[in-house]
Amino acid sequence: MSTNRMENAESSVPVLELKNISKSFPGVKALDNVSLTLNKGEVLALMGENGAGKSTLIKIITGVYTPDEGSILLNGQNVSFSNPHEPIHQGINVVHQERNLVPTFTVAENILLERITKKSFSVIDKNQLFKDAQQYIDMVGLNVSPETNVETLSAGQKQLIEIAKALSSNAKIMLLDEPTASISLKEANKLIDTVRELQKQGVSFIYVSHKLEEIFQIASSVTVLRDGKNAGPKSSIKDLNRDSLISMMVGRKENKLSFPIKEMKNDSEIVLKVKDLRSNESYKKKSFQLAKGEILGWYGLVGSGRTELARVLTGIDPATSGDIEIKGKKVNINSVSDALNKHKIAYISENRKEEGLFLMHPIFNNVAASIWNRIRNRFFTLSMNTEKMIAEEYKSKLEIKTPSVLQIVGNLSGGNQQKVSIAKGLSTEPEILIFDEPTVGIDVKTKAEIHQLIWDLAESGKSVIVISSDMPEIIQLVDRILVFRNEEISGDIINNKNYDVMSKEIMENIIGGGEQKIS
Amino acid sequence: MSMPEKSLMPTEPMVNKVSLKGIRNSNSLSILGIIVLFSLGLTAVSKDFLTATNLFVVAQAFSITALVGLAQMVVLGSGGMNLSVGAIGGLVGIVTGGLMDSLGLPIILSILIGVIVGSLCGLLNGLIITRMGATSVSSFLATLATSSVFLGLNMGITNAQPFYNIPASYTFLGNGKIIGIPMIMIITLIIAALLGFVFKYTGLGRQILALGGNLKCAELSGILVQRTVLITHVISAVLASVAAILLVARLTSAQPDIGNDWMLFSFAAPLIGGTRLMGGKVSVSGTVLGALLLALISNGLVHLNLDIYWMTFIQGMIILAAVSIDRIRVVREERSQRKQRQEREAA
Repeated sequence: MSTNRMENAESSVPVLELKNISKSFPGVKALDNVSLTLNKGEVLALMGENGAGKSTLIKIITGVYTPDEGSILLNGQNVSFSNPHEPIHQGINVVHQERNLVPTFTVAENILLERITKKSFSVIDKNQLFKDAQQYIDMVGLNVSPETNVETLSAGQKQLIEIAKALSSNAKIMLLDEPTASISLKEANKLIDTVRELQKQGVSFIYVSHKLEEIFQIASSVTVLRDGKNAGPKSSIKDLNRDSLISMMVGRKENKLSFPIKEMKNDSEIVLKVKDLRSNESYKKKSFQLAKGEILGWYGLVGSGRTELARVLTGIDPATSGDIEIKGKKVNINSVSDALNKHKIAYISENRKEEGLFLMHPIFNNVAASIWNRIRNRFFTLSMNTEKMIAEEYKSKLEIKTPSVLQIVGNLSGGNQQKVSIAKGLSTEPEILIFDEPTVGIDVKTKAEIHQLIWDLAESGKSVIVISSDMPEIIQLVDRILVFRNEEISGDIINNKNYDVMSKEIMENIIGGGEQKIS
Repeated sequence: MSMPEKSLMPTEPMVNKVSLKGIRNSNSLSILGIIVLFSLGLTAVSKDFLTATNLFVVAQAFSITALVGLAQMVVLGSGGMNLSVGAIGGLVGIVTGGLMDSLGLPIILSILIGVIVGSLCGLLNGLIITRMGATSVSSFLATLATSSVFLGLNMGITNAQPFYNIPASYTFLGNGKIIGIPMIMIITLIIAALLGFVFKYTGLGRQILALGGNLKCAELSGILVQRTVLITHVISAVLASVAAILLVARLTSAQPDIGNDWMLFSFAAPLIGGTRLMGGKVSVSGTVLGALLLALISNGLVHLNLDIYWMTFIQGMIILAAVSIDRIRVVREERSQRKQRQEREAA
């Protein structure tokens, strides 16, 4: 750590200081004794892999969560936030990815939303509104009229509008959460220029990004989180290079309960072959193949295009171009029913509550929901006993803990709900299974059980795709890893299950681009 | 009175010990209790209540209410609503009556054409709704619009004039009896039993409830959402059509204003009976009992010498009560789910 900086910091109190913050959720300690210091006019990069605790920390700063232990100091004063409005009034703003804008409102209305919604019965002076908004539009260096409708703007422009909106509420501290994840390079540069300009005016930034080139371009210092802890003291960006930063992020981990390495034979049957596939949601061409008995991991950040590709393969979104071959035969997947019944592809949603389950219905109904058409008899009637028998079978196979398959799914624990969701997928007897974040929010024991289940499915000749943002999970479980970055498959790596080697290699692929810039 | 299956879907948490809670949750039983108490009260107050003639009148009103309630229940179960039940009924009544009166078509053919016209109305509703994304709001808007379309057709065809020339053998459907039981009620109960069967024993019934339970999940489970929405609305329209056909028989004339007052009790009957407003759960027996209660209340008002116009007021109050009960039930279920989960996690 540079001693110079330390002296500078001494001279003024940090604008924001988090001291020894801890936060636990049932079953996990998300943050363990984490500290962070942000000085006036500083751009602090907050880094760490998925699940390192960045989001939790941001949510604590923005008042979404309250910490179990530790203190938050704002300009040296102890504060505690009990709701998301308090930090905003104290000048702390978080800029999400175009989440906080009203799309049908104009730019000016969005920037000054607080002002125009505060009083219910006052007349809004439009001209004044546009004039005031223009000032903030200029501050972020944007070239749009305040009268433009926000929905007509690009993602990058919306992000700048969000910053302008934060400025209008007199923001002193801004949290930018993956601000360049969904915008073009040109817009990203524009954003970085704006951040620099505001930095000169004394605004402090916490900048969360996975893109190393950006971090080196913009940040003055870095705080790295790893497994919910500080992965070392705050460092000046000058003292770091690409490799040392990656090492800090991934660290060393034990190889716990990793599954053995499976030699995929070269002649094993290719079950699924995808070539140059595109859809409206997944707009960049993607190609890959999947062998019989293989577990293929899809790693990437949220929004990197994994779920969108899965949606095409499961018949939710139609393909707009490209080919899908199943067992050497070209196919069209026209609907979910098509994928399930004709092509034997099952998708287990990442979102079991919203998409995966009928929470108000009993277990046996959920398990059989995809096969009602198959199990009805020749009089088109269903026997509840058949449904119950099928559900009982999966209950014992997946060890779903419930006294009865008549139990309402909403009454089950998260882990058991996930098992029911998996049972629903398995009941269709698929050849290809796509698990989307199969263990998110699930206790350790059930997680291990689900991993074992996925392993056994592959052993029995099924082909499995595991979409996960959990790096240890991917490295322990899968045979091969596709890395998704910016809507593209940026890496195709055979997994040797050595955590140190693999995690670095995956990170290289996620971060990308760096070498070309340096050389 | 023979009732169809007691509980339609085994969705009540049966694994909970049979306790006070179980009885409180069993809707049909508590409605039955209210019906018995209410009837006893009316018997005590008015000597005209417990007479064959009066009970026959109640049975007639009950039958129409039950069919209209079931028509709404089916759509509610799928997570939607059908504001055009009354308009469909009006159009079908006029078509059926008009064919017999003006064209002198045979009864069976007239009924058949009436039902076909009704089904087409339902199909149209379903088509528009699926084009609008099959959400609850789209069904609200679509059927609000089509109800005006159907009503306009009805009034345009008839110039708001009724058809009076209805064959006597047709009116038997509405006013006749078989071994002392009103024909209209026999038909209604058979249809209710059929519908109960659909929800309990067929894939279609499950699919409708799956849509109402979780539309996204239904889609991801490979259920053909659009087809199911279409079928749901056709079933609803057919039930409304049957109600209209029976009402024409009961009134012995095809009035253009048939169905004008159906909307409110079409919601009241299923909601009283425990059908979930947001979809996913229905109860045929509950809806039938709810209809019986509504019929008794409106009959009771006559015996109490209350102005019939107060019925509108009371129906509104009943619906508000039913919606509150629905809401309370949902909140309570969520709370008990949370509690059960926490207990399990603690264990």
